[in-house]
Amino acid sequence: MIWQAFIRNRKKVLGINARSLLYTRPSNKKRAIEIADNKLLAKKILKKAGLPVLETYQILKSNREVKSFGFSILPKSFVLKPNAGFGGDGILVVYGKKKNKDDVWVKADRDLVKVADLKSHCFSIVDGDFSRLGLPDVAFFEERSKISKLLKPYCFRGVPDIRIIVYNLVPVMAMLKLPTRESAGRANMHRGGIAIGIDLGTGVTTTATYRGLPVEKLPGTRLLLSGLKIPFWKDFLIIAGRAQEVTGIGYLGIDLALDRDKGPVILELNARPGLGIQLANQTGLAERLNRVKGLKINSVKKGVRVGQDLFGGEIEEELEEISGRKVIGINEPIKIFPPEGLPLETVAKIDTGAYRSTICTSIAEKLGLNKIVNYKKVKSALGEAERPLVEASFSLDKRTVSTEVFLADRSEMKYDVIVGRKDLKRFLVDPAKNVFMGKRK
Amino acid sequence: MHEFTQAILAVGVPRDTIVYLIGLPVLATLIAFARQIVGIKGFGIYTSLLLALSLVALGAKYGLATFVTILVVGTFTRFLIKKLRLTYLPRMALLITVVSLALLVMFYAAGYFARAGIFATSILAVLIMLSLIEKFISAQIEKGGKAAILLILETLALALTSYYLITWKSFQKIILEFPVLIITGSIVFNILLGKWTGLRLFERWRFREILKKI
Repeated sequence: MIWQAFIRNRKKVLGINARSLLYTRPSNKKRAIEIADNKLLAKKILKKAGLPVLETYQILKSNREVKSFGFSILPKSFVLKPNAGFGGDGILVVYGKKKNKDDVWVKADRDLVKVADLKSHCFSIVDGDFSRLGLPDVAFFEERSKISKLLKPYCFRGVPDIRIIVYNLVPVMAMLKLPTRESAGRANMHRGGIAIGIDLGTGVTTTATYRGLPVEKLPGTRLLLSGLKIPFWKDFLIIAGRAQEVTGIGYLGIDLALDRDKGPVILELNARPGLGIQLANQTGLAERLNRVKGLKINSVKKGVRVGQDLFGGEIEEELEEISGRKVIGINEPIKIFPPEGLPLETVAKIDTGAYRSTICTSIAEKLGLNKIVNYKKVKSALGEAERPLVEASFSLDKRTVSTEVFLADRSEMKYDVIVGRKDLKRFLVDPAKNVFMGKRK
Repeated sequence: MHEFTQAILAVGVPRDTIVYLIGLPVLATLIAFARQIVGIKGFGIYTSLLLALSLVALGAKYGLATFVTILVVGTFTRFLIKKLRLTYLPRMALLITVVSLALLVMFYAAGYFARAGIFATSILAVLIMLSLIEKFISAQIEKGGKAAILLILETLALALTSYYLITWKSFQKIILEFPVLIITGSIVFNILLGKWTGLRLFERWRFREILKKI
């Protein structure tokens, strides 16, 4: 029953109460929150640590500075931000200058922005209209991140961003946020942006949510939102972990962009990241955080590895469930069973170019695989040869295959075993999986 | 009546003073409960309570009429003076000036049509409501129209509930009957409430798809 599921699962989903009582308050000390709430300070610290941030063009600290600033020297595209703003409030983005005008810019919705508009916006910012407590604030102009070609078709005139939640140096959940027509170029979920969950292991998008409900395609188009592979995924995770390390924000929501020229860049840090990421990923945060709590993680690299191992691979599981086949990589651990005795473990190369599998004669001898059932001619680049076929059974990813394999001298090759198409009928091969090198002989 | 109440009444403290001083923590607890367990945000304890107390002082009819007048005139004025591009505080002060004038007109109309009932009410309560307009308008500016309307409605609902509770005769009787129980109860309940890490009712609705699935 639904109610039983509700009761069973309620501890897996993170709510506001648990977020502040169990995570943000104990993990985010005063200094850490100060950094998260002060964009310029955060940028300074991140930049010093060698992490990629966007360039700051100009900082305006007071009404006087706003009055005397020559706005027309600003470049064609930029972002105007309140230093202490939150939730995307008070951010103004312009995309270019109006033709033949040096002091009129164009916004995402094609509205024109004149110097007077910029000035008035700066005054509001400096006055504290967008700061959390209404205190006087600082306005600054920043470089606008350029959308990568990959994500461009998915965005309506805004900058998409990638949110990663990091806890205890482990990335726990991630999503890709896309701006839509109604979110006015900003990717915030509560403004009507689309959020898509990301598989932490592979950086491939999974499920998506729009206006609080699941969606499969980009609204108004036939573009599928799942299955999109984010490039430089591991770099994103490493940057997120490093950002936590240098800022001390123990429960961190970091926003990054995929810049066309620079690759991953940090946009913003958040000490109270929203809970909507659970809707995007269709899974609960509380459960994941619990698994990471108390783990001894002493380096960012290890944290990333743990996060990828623990929270990756959902796509694969789902795929395996639907297709009934196991997903294997190009190099896969294999167990070969002899007629008698213990199985031999090694790494096989999965070769969809070959029809039959081949085992090195040295292994075959060791295992006693000598019952030759047939001889077959094989053509290769080196010419034609006749090779013996023997009966053998092996297991790949816990699935056993009984078959006939070629014997060949592979002592000069990197892998002792090659698995061909004939024996791969119950598997799907993902060339991006398990890309490690076989042991050198 | 509880001896605690009797002792206070005996030295001449008015009955209403006891009712409100002990009732207010209950209302505050109610608002805290609405946020932590149900998920009704509103503008928090301060605004909701002030609004509730102004309703108590003005009565539901005049109170709501004043509130709606202030809100409508305030919102209308905000759009009117938007074009002037003023900084925040002068803009708010200007807004309050316009709303005050509107209230003055309202009072004049009440007097002209001989509806003098409103004059018997407390002007202080009207002034408190007038000051609250800043909260409502700044929410409109910061969060956008739709979110602001929701917040205002939530606050109004909390204030109205508080108003009906505190003016309810049986509730007042309970307060006078069990003052110690209510105070200790509030203390214990709020400590438990403050440690509660469960999902809010609204969150259960928001995450219903996930809760069904995993």
